Amino acid sequence: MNGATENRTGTCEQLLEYAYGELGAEPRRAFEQHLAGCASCQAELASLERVRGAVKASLPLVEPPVNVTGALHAQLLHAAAQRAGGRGKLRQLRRKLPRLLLSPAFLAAAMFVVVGTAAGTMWWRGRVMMPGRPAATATVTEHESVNANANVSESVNTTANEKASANADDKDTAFGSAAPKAEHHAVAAKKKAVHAAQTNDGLSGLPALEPQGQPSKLYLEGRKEDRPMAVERVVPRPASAKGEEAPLQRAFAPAAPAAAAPPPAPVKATPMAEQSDGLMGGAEGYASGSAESTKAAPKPIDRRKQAARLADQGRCDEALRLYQQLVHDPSLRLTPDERLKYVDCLRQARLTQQALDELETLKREPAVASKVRREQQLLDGEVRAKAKAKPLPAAAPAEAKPAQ
Amino acid sequence: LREDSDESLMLRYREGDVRAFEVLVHRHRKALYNFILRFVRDTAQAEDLLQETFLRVIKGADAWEEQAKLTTWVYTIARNLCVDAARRGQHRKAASLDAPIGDPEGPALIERIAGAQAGAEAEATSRELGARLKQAIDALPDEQREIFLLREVSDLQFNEIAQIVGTSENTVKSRMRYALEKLREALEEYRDLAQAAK
Repeated sequence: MNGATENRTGTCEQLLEYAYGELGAEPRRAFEQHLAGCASCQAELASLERVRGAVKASLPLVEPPVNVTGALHAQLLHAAAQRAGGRGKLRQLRRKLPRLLLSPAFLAAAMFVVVGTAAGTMWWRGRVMMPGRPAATATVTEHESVNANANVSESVNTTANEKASANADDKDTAFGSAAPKAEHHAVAAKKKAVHAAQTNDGLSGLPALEPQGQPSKLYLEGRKEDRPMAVERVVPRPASAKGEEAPLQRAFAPAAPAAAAPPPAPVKATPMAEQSDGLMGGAEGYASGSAESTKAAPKPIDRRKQAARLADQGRCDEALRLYQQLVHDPSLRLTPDERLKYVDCLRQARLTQQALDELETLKREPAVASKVRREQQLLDGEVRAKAKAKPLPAAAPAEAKPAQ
Repeated sequence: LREDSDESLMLRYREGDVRAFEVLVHRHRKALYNFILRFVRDTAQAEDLLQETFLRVIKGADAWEEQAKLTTWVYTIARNLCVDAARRGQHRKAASLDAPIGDPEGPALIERIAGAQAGAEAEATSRELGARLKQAIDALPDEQREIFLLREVSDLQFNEIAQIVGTSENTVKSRMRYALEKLREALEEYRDLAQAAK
């Protein structure tokens, strides 16, 4: 290194490997013998060690900043879990299948499907036996009847359909082609039945329907005038019942098989925000036993409350950890408000991309639309700020440690 | 898990054990971060690239062959990301030259290498020497600097570096010699100046 000398040999070329300890035992011994008699190598080795010493002293290894470590850690585990979840999905399903088949949720769902199908089939048979009935109408009605998901509309629908079909059947028998009129009757009967159900069946929390003849835009959105009115659409289904709207790319939650999913919650027309507030409330119960419950395998509901509480207190790191677990839990489905808090935690942990992804799925939730917009603005601001100039974290020099 | 080799941890991770990956991250993040930081010379960008490196490891876990050494693969990813970033010219050299690196409370550099001076003057001299050395490293051509960093910072062997950089081991050693020679010159230049100042 210090200028090649005339009498350099092939052995001298091994100096670098020797200095870095890459020579095997035998070559090393041979080089050491050579070194003892080669002034050039001795000088070069000394020079090299001086440079290396100076470099080590002036460029000690630094620890990644703490905020980076935390955020990186969370993000990586998120990604790793997502990938691991995807890979092991089939294996998990195969393992869980026998248990799932015997679970009460599955049995209830199966029972529901069987009874619903049987009822639908019987009703359909009764319809098609009647002459002069347009087949298309019958199909649509049956489809909507069988697929009615909302609990309220389920019973109402059956009643209305029965009544309507009875009317239609009467007309059909009498006049042969009175289907349109019969449908009109069916619609009216359904409306009436819904109204009666909402005022009398104890679901006083439901918003009152608008007077007949002026269907609410909100509740009848998407209805086609040329169909029999779909009573089951009158009441909005909760987000949890909308399987098709569940975010496909949810971070941790490997999609639970549909049959094993918990039955949809009873339809309540309270906004999602209220539902989640109710969940996060109950501070007395939480305060009484939260510390112990968090230590010893808390129930999901406790963890949800705890996560929300931590997020509200601004302890986002802890809240984020809890939310990561909750999102992982396939048996749980976070409410939009909880997911919004999760997004907020992600944003504060500088997991901007992840927060944006999560927010994207939340945009479909009308209950938190304004909050989503606000969060989106915050995230956009952060993205712009980050793109403009990434400030050097103040923690970096403090974290620096000399190399070992 | 902590005693397992990188390769067996990676295999475990491929089987779905996320904890194994956590150990891998914990084991390599510091050296990787330092390599990337010295390469791109920008703290914020180094953070991003570190994260990106691990994310690519996750994405490409299936592509990794068991016979290959994991560190070689991971550093290849990191190095490629750094090269791309350098090509895009997104790094800001000016910020990094002044960025504080190292422990300001640690022993003075001059005390470690010369053992002659002491006190405030020596400390100032040491800082100046450190800055000069750092400038000299930053001034190395990219192909020399990456090899120097992979050897000195990441402690990889020359044959591993050759695989990472995609060149022969002899070329790697040759570049390393050039890099060390330039740093030695910078060090001696400074020493001459320091002696002249006395």
